[in-house]
Amino acid sequence: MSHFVTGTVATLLLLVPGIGLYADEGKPLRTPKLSAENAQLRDFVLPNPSEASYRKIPWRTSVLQGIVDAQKNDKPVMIYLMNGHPLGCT
Amino acid sequence: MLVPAADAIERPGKALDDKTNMSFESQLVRKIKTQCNDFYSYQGIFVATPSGLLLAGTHHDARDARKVEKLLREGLEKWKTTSPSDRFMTQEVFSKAVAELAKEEARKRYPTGGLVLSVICRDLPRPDAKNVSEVHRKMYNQDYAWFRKSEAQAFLPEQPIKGAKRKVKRDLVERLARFHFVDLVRGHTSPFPQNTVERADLTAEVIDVNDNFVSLRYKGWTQTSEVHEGVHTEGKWNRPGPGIPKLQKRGVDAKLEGHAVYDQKAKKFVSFNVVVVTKRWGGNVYNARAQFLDFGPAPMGIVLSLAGDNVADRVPPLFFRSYGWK
Repeated sequence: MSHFVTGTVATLLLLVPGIGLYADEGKPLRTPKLSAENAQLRDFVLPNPSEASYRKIPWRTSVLQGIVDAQKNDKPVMIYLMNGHPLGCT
Repeated sequence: MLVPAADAIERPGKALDDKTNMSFESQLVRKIKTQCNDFYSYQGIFVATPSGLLLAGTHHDARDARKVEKLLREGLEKWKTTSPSDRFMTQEVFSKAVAELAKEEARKRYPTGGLVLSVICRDLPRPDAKNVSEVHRKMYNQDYAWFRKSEAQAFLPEQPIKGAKRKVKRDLVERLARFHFVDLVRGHTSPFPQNTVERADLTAEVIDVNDNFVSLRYKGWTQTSEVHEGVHTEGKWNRPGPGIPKLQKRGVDAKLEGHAVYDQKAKKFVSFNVVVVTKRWGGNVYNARAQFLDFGPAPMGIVLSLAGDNVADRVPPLFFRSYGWK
């Protein structure tokens, strides 16, 4: 439900031309009017909060960085190894 | 509790699983992996001590959160019973690891001050969706597209005044078409060679200028198309077999539309949202199209947006080696 609400608000904001986040006082920055389906497709393609939740983990992006940090912090290391980087294209 | 590290097996020179790779990192990974299983693949999740002692590991269950949780708990329990002398590298070995890490950091090519885009792709709804499993329907993939600072400037007109237009340099649009408008939804495939790019047009138009900020519209169209040369190529063209067409083809027809905001004072994009609606065709075993004879044409959506600035958003593009950056 909350994802639906967030997505809907985001869609409305993207569909309404003339609403600009970057603006002088009283003079909003105009944005182009895009096709009706543009914002809907964007919402459809982008990962929802649940799908993107793994990105909240404080990953080290290499085995070596993980091993060095683990030694420094007296901790074990968890290594997630894939063909293609798990935080990029895997 | 533990230090999480994610990494790719591939390396610019020798891969981590290459037995001739004598780097500290590769030797450590091979040591950990061989304690876990005899599989050919190094893919998996491993819990280990900094010294390289395996505490828990799996090749199979990376997508099952409960099984991963169980594995992590198992690893943490073993950690508790492991003596400090077994847990850690000696100071001499640690110094070697730190030195190698410094070298790796110095080799990174992240385009600071440039344009770094998050590239997300996902199959779009299609009439034959009932033939596609729920797992595959939900799949998406992520990559990054990198443009250096000088290249980022080419994404807006030289004179940023209202109504000004500029065709983005072809080689930059080709970079998107060849390396980022590729069917990676379910897995990997090859980038498109330059001679397969049939169209690479992208126009930037200034919609408004306000103080330092320039509002831009993007519209574009790229096409790539490649035909099988008659030779099976692993990860690209399929072996002959039932359902595999004799004349294999692959390609992507992509329409781009979106907007961005450029900050002239900071000299960087502060917003970038381009939706790419594509028709893709072709496929292989690695991108999980061949197994299901899902060769299309079928719709695929791609969204380009500004990447974040944390370390996880600095992972290089999948096909970075093909960028040709010196």
